[in-house]
Amino acid sequence: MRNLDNGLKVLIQEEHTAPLASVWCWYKVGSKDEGPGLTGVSHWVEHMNFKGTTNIPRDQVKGIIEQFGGSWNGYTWIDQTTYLETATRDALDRMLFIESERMANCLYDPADCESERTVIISELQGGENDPDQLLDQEVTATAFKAHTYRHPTIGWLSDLQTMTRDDLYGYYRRYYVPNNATLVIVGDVDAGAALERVEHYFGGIAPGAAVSRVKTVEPEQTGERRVTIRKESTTAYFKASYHAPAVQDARFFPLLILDAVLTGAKGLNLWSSFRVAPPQRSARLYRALVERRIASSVSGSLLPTEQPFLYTVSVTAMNGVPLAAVEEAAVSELDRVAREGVTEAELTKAKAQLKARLVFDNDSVTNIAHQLGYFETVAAVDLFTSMPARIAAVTLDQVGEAAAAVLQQANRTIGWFEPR
Amino acid sequence: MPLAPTRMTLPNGVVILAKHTPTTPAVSINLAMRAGSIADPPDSVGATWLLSRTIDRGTSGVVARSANAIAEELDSRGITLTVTVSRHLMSFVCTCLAEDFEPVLALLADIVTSPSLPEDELQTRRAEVVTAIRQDADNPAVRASEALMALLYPNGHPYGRPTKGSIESIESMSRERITALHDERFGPDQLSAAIVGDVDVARVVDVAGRVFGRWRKPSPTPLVVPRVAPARARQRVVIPMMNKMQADIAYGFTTITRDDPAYYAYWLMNNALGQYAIGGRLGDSIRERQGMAYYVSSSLDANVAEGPLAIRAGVSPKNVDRAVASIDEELTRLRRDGLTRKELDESCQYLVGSMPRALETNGSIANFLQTAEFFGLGLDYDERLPGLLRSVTLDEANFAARRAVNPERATVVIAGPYRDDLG
Repeated sequence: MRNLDNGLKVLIQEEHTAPLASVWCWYKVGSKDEGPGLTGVSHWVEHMNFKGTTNIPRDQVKGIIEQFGGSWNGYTWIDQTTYLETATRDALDRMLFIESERMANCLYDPADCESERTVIISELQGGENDPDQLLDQEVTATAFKAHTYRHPTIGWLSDLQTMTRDDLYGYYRRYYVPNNATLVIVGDVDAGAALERVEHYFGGIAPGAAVSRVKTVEPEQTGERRVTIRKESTTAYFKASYHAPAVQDARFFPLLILDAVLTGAKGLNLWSSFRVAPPQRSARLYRALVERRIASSVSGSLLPTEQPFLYTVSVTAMNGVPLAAVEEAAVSELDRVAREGVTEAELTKAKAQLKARLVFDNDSVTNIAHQLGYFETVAAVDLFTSMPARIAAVTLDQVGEAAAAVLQQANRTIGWFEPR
Repeated sequence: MPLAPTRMTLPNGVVILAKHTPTTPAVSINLAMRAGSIADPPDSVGATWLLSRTIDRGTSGVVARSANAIAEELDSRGITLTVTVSRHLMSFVCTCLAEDFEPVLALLADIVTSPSLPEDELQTRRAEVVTAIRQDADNPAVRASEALMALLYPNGHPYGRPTKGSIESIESMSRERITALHDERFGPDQLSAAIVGDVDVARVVDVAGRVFGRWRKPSPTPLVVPRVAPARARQRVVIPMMNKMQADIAYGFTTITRDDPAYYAYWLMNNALGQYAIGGRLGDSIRERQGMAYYVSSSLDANVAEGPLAIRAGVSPKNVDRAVASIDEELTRLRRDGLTRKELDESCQYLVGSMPRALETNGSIANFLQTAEFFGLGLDYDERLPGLLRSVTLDEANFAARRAVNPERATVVIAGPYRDDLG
């Protein structure tokens, strides 16, 4: 890893397996950095950063990377905003040019801002068509009362209706500076030559003022919270969310093992891991809920985050099974593992699953580049490279302690979506 | 570099497609059985789907395994076996570590050739499928797509039937029906096995020969998919779902078969219409210029019979009429003025240029090999494809547009918080 003089971190990894290169530019800004009235601004800014720059006129955006057979995209979540291009290696200069323009010269044409307002409201409403997503949003908002992880990345509707072009542009200028960014290149490139091209495109961008960070720490939860949505629908959904440690916390990897025992190992790549279901048919909650015809599906979610977020178990009730029965079955398994921990055989299996998943997570230049940038942005890249060793080192006692500490009744929020 | 896969046929008819890639210490396995949802008996719609949910829950072959034993074998190696059903294929797909390749292929072979389909497992899967059908009934995107297919492929055509079946058909489906379906439709000469990853081709052939070689069964009676007549007039159906926030539009036509010589012209035309960059011309109009939708795109699925070209968009209920009018307008303009030379060139350059990306991972290569095998495109299809795309002329692409997308004959479905009487 190298730092340019303006503070831009640069990570380059040569992978000569295909004639491709993937470029990702990561910014340490996500929905947790948004205050009241501006919820959703990080994500809206991401959308605006595809709409032309000083040197990429609006009408030349379309096709700028597609000419190289490439794809480009971006996403925003609670800790980070990121942009990527993956294309043939001869497009490296084009990709770096796009990202340098995105960092310094986006236009924020007022008409484009207005047009994008309705696109984003459409994205929000599309999400609310899904009862499971709606429940997830309500449970998260209930679990946090102080920390800004509480609001959804898409934002609250009234903020999306009232935010102005100047709000967007001001936010863009504050956070899109080289000293708040990490550039990652993975692929069929020469690392030295690629670094020179990075210097060429980004070296002249001036650093910005240091950005302020969220200081609020979520107070310890002192009692179980509940939220019930009653809405016309066909299916019932259940969630149990527990405050969980951040990725740098010593209890994170033991908890990852615990999740694998309960619902199957997922891997840790937000870009690719969740496109394939986890191996979970022998997992405790699958056996307790799906095999007993209480639920048609169960999943667990422990995501690597900069600050303490949530461990969430989500269940789709089997047709005709009341939510009280779903809750009883799920909670009794969660309470049992909190009391008794896991077995040696379960620990061994979870480690084998995670070992395989980490290999599967890194099957393309795009996925490898994602992982390097993601971990550098929410923690440190060393955490990614040392992950296999950290998982291998987890002991039975550590899993038991993590389960006992996290899966407490007073630490959880229960969510019901009950069809009317 | 060309893919240059190895293809061989075992004496019993199983086709092996193998490609060695040393990129990661992993292997992707993709087994395709020519037994998709078109094999559903007309009185048992969803039978193939229910078979796919139950087939990996016990074996009675070389090794008898319970559902739990299979779960342990897969889970302990970090493997997720995904069984999917398309119109023509049931596919068994997984990725395993290279060191696990041999036992995993042996397990998959037993699942495909000798499932035990236990009654108690069938009961659990029935309840799961019924729950999934009820979830679909509450999903405007699924409702719009399924209704579009039913209208484009009427009178019980197999492309028009819902893959999961109905609550009634699933609840009444017996174990005998499912077992008979497996007996009738599964056989060695219906199976192709694509294996891509860090394993020598010679070893793939050796292991595949051992695990599949002893399977003997006569060929099933070929299934005939009826030809499809294009719609003669515009049809429009509204499915009111007033509990939802956003409406889904599905707007489409039947087109051509995959072996039609015009296929590549259709592909390029569709790319420019509804895919290139953020949704082609449709994305430019409906998302970028008018800000009406988060997503809008078109897809072309030319198949054994005349497949659909479907345009999909999610819009606020107040914009439904304007969005449908904008689709009409774009199609009218496309038919009248055609694509520009620049648009055709851009789409062609994109599709050709994206091939290294599309063939980067083991899983995507295995999938590509299975598609080429199913449609008989040849082992050098990856090498010929750029030429096939580049040879399409502007006249051919524009002729495809005039044939394919006439708004006067469009089938339009709107599902969501929208009713004609509310506007």
